[in-house]
Amino acid sequence: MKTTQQLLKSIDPSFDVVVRPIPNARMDVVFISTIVDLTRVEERLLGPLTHIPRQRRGDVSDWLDNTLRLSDIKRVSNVDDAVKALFANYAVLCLQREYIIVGVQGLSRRQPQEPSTDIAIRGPRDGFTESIDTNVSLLRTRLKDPKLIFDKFIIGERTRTTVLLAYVRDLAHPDIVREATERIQRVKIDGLLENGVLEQWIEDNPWSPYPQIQSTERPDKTVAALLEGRIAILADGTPFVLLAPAVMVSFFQTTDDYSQRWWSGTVLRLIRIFALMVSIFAPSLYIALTMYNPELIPLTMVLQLAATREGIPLPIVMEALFMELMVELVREAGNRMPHQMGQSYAIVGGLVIGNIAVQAGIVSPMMVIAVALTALGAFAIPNYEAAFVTRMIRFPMLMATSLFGIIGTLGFALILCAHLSTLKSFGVPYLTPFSQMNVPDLKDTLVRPPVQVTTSRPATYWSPRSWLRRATYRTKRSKA
Amino acid sequence: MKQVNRNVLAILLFECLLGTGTAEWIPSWTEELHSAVWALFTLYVLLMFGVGLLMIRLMQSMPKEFAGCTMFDYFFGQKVGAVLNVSLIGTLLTYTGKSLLLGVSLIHYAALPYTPTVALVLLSLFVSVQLLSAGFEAMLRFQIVLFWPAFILATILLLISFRTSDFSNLLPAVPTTWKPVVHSAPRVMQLLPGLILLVVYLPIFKKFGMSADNSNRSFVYASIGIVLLHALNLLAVLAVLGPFEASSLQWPVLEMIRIQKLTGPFLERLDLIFLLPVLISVVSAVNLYAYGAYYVLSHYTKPYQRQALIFIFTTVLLLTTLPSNSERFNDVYGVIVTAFELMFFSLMPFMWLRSYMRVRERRIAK
Repeated sequence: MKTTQQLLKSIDPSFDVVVRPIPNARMDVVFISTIVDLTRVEERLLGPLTHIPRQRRGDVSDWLDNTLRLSDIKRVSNVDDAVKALFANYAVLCLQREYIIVGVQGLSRRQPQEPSTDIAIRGPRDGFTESIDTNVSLLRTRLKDPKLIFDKFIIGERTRTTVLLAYVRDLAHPDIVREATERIQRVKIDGLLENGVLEQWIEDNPWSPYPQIQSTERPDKTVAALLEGRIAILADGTPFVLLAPAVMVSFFQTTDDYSQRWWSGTVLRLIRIFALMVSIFAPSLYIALTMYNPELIPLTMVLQLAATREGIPLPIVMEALFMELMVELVREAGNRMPHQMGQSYAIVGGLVIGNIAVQAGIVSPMMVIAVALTALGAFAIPNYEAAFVTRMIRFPMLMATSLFGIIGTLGFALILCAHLSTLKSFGVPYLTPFSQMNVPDLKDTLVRPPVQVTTSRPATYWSPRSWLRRATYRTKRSKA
Repeated sequence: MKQVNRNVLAILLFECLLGTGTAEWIPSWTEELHSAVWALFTLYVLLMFGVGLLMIRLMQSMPKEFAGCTMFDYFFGQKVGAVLNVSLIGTLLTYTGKSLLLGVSLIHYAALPYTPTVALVLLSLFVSVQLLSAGFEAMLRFQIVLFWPAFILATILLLISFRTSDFSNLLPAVPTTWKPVVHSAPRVMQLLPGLILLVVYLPIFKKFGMSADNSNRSFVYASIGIVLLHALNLLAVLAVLGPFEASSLQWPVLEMIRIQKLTGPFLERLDLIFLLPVLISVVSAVNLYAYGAYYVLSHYTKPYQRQALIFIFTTVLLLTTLPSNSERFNDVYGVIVTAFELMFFSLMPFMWLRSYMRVRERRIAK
């Protein structure tokens, strides 16, 4: 068959490329055995084809449309399109003048499981998987809105990864959707294996250490974001979904804030903000107060601190840097180990190294406490990227503090604040809504008020129907 | 969500009127008038409200789009406006240098006596350069985000200092003769350089479509806030330190916080904590004045905005690091700023007249 020869010429020979001639119908079926569902191929494609009636030999395409019990059937005349389909889990029927591609995808995928990063105490237990179809179904089952749109893109010249841009048509701002579409279309790379790469291609400021797009493994979180007028970007082969625009506050909000009573949610959120502050400032303030301004601390405490530091050869800054590096080392090693060993290693490593360092007289017990508080604070931040940046900025802050004392801490914090003021995520300022001081939008930020108070959709993400929900809710209440 | 709204304008106006927030005017006022400074303070309040509201009114008479960057361009035409704008750039840069020098000497006094000035100036300018190059909205975001934490912290610390107050220090509150009040009246100018900034910022807000109602409301809120804060500063300093001690100190508010002894387990003194809001307001003042100068300069150097930024950065660096005697130069800078203020206030009636005539012409044309 000429079309079959053209198709095979366009691809390199491989052990799993199967060509099955169907003599009765003058056609060949070509598929890649490792990526299709062989049962479906045999039962629903090859089976019916071998029973093709003799009088249909001339033109079988209409017959195929009516007979094959497979929904995904398309005609293509171009050999390039046929090749692309072949590698996208389709079987290709090579007829005399055209190709028919039949969807027989069958790669076994992981079932939705509880997310490993976005853990919620009270909330749904299913998380995204590596299959984009499964992920779409998880979203569709939660958000049964006909206005939920999925725009499809193929990224990667070689991997040809499917990327979907999801949004609710009347909630997402058209400018943000347009901007996201343009940015995704501009990505020209060989391969896209993980949407962390995509994130770096499409974010506003790639030089900033701060994440400008939020990632999540949770379908409920994604749906909540879509309902706020944000967009979600799904990529095949990864269980992480990107949410944009992302503002600083969004990295500190979790499912648990909303699933529990408002005061529990508020306390949790305040604890997280306290954790952030401790994580950034604890070691720097400790250094500033003990090294530069001990006169601010009560005498009894100064004496106690001096006693714990007696005989320690390292300057206090080196002590802090040494301990911080140790903590990072233990954490990174724990991450790379198998899960069963990782946790035990982290605990044992932390305890043993801390204890031995104190006994050996390299660091003081107070420094161990300060660094442990810092590490705990960073782990209490719900988003991995945000937590990582928080841990990393401690090092330059320590250096600034060691040079200028508390003025260095403040100076570095101001520089950081200036940097955050310049950041945007898809046009939305990173410090929204604090930087606009628009009171209704400040409600669900530092505290989580009762749900009756937060019925309005925040204007944070430029949703065009920002105030509609509140108006509807109030009207209903007053009627009732 | 709009970055420019009436809350943002109110906060920006507050910060413009506040200046560096170091309250270095208190010793100079109490030196001559002792506890009877309230008459002078009333004069300040009247002047600020009068000039401020007049400027808001002038802003309202301006069209949303006009070929210029400041109020001078609109009311004096392009040529005279350009001359005034150049002197405005000089004044704004001078005040930026003055603010930075104040901040540095405060740090030298309170925390780091031996740290080189250039290091502290560079640390501060690193903030400004980031914001200036990112544009007006980025600068606004920085100012707005830091406003409430600094304001709340400063107010709490001021209120705490009343623990050691003696309200009999406030007497006599009314001067026995009015001669010293008249004599010290020019010192009011120390608190008014912020009004110069409105020449630059009000037209920007006008271009963003800020309505007359919102501008008025923002100015009233900002003015009330600033009057209350200055009154609280003055009241606390007089009540805690007394007029004679207050007049002999360079940083009376800082000293007042410094003498507050706590018995808590972690902190014994609060002066370094008070340094945080003060330094935030110094950095805010530097940003506002530097951006004002940059905005006007870049209007004339378009499209070479980067060169304008380099010029601003270099000038401020030289103004702050070259003087061998920072206190003396601080006074010189103060004189330059006051001279421009006087010129600006004397131009106000002319601007008002131009505005009145234009409105009348428009009415006749209709």
